[in-house]
Amino acid sequence: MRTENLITVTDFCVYHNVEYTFVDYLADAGLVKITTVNKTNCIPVDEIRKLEQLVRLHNELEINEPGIATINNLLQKLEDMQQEMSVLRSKLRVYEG
Amino acid sequence: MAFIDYYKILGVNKGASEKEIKSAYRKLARKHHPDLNPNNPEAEKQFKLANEANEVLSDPEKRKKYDKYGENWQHSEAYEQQARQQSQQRSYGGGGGAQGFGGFDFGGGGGDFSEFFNSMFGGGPPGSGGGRQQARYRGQDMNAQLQLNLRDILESKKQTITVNGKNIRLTIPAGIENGQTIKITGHGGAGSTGAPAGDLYITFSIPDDPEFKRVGNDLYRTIDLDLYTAVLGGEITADTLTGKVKLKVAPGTQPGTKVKLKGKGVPLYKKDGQFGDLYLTYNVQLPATLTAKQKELFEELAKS
Repeated sequence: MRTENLITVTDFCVYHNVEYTFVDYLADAGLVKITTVNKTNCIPVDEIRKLEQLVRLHNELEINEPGIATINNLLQKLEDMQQEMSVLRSKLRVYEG
Repeated sequence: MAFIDYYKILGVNKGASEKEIKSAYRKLARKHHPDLNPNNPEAEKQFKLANEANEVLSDPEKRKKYDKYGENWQHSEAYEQQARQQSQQRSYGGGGGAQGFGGFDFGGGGGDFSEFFNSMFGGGPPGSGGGRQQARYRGQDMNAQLQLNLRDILESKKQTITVNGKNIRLTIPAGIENGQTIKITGHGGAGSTGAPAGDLYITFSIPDDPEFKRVGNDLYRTIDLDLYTAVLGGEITADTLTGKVKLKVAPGTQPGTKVKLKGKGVPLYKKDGQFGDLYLTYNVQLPATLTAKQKELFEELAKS
């Protein structure tokens, strides 16, 4: 049987001191995945790192939920571009000998 | 390590206000935050420096010391103690010459200060020592809502509320208004790595009372008055928020007449002993059914 490591949204909110509605918003915006087990909303552990990054933006930089969604979108583009640049650099090195 | 000009790092002048420092720090933090600058070690370095500058300049005590002693700000107390000892030695005629402090020259006259500085900051403020150190952030502000009724706000009272599992005792001032928010300093989310906690904002919800309408500090109420008292005058008893009062009704009182009961309204917020007024509007009630005798008397009245 396949098992999945989950953390309840409530536990996450208490630990990180964020409102439940904050996580709810991020889930609605498609920024994090939430699954429901026995009527309890849970976060898969592989989503935690991402969610913690968004919480830091919210808590440390006082960025509101819509701002976080926008930043997340731009960060994704930035990371994609960085990766593309890295691939192109490697190719260039081959041609430059 | 060379002297670090925290003012320069934040881009503010020496006389900058707390607000200017906070604003400059926030601007830099948003620019260099590692989460916003993936794979950018330079941004991380700048972020750590901004944190360090903010830690010193946003704390009045540390800033004062920094302004006075520059790079030696953390050791100013030891320096002052040394100065006191030197002064004491001179007054006792010891004449033994000034003692060095731990082998370091605080006069800035050529001692190798940077090693000392690095060793002192090894476990100190963020961003200055080796290794990754955690940023120091004030805790998150939190919001809560508390529902009261009109009778709850007639006098200041202490109440314990539970927010996120913590019991918080607060005083609700008399006369608080619907939608008004009060701040409970330091009862928000905990700060990280020793930073102060955030604040708790409590918003009061006071639903409309079925009997009394509140407008500012005044109350309005409509009360029924029977026809005979309205016509002939008399005495009635009316309810206020604080109990019953007796009122004299003048003969010939018209429907819709308003009377003001001074000081029977809501207490003024944070103004002890001052109250709004209560306005009563008379709703004169006509008898719906009459006995034969009453009808006869009314007919007689109509003829007169």
